[in-house]
Amino acid sequence: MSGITVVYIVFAIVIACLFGYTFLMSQRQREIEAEMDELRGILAEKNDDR
Amino acid sequence: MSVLGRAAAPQRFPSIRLRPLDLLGLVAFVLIAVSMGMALLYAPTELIQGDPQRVFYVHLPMAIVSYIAFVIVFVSSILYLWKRRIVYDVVARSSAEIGVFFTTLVIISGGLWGQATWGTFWQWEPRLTFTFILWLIYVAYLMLRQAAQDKERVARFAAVLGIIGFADVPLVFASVYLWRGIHPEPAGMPQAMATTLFVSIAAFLALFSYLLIHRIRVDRAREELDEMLATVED
Repeated sequence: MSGITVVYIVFAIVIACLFGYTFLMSQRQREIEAEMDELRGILAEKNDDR
Repeated sequence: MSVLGRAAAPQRFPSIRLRPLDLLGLVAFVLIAVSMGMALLYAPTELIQGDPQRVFYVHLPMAIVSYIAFVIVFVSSILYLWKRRIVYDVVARSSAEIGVFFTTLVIISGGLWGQATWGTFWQWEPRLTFTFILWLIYVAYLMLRQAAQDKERVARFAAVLGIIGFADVPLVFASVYLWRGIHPEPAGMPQAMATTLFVSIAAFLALFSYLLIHRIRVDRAREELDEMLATVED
């Protein structure tokens, strides 16, 4: 493995991990928001029934 | 209005509105790209190590960011034990996760750099050993957070671990001065190297701020969701 190849590999790993982590976090947030919207609907229905 | 005129009307195009947090993330990723470009094209080749030394421009900033993350865990844990406000616990666990993430990248990037220059991925020398212990402490911290027991109790134990575990951070930092190992002591560098390093540190600090704010928001949303679930179950 030549010197510059190591640098490219490290940079590629860092970029992939940073994007991956950011993507996972955004996905987690979207899932929570979707679940919250669903719950808001259930709560609104419950309030209407009362 | 002509067909072309109607097509070009502003309402025909979906507007892309960037929130301040998205903007921070965008700036951080652009800065990371710029710093990597500078590391490859602008920074001079180091005389002894050659090209593999360029890993330094991501390795050191990520290490600095991980130390900052653990300082935040330490301070937030003290504040949580003192004030018992959930917000400090949220900040501590968010910062711990990001700290572990960057420490993992520090270990991987350092290992690959070591493989290229020292001929070995790993050696049980002082700084590497203390860094590995630091990683283990905060992985244990995150595992503790997953415990599905009494939330307040878990937060209390985690805060104590966050405070005790921080004792390893000064050891990682001071290990190159206190014991002999393969990690060199910091030395001066040419202007172009210093500039590249400065841009890279700024980039990773911006990225850390973005990730931390984003992570805290996700955690607070989770808290809110749990409260809503409890309301629905009632």
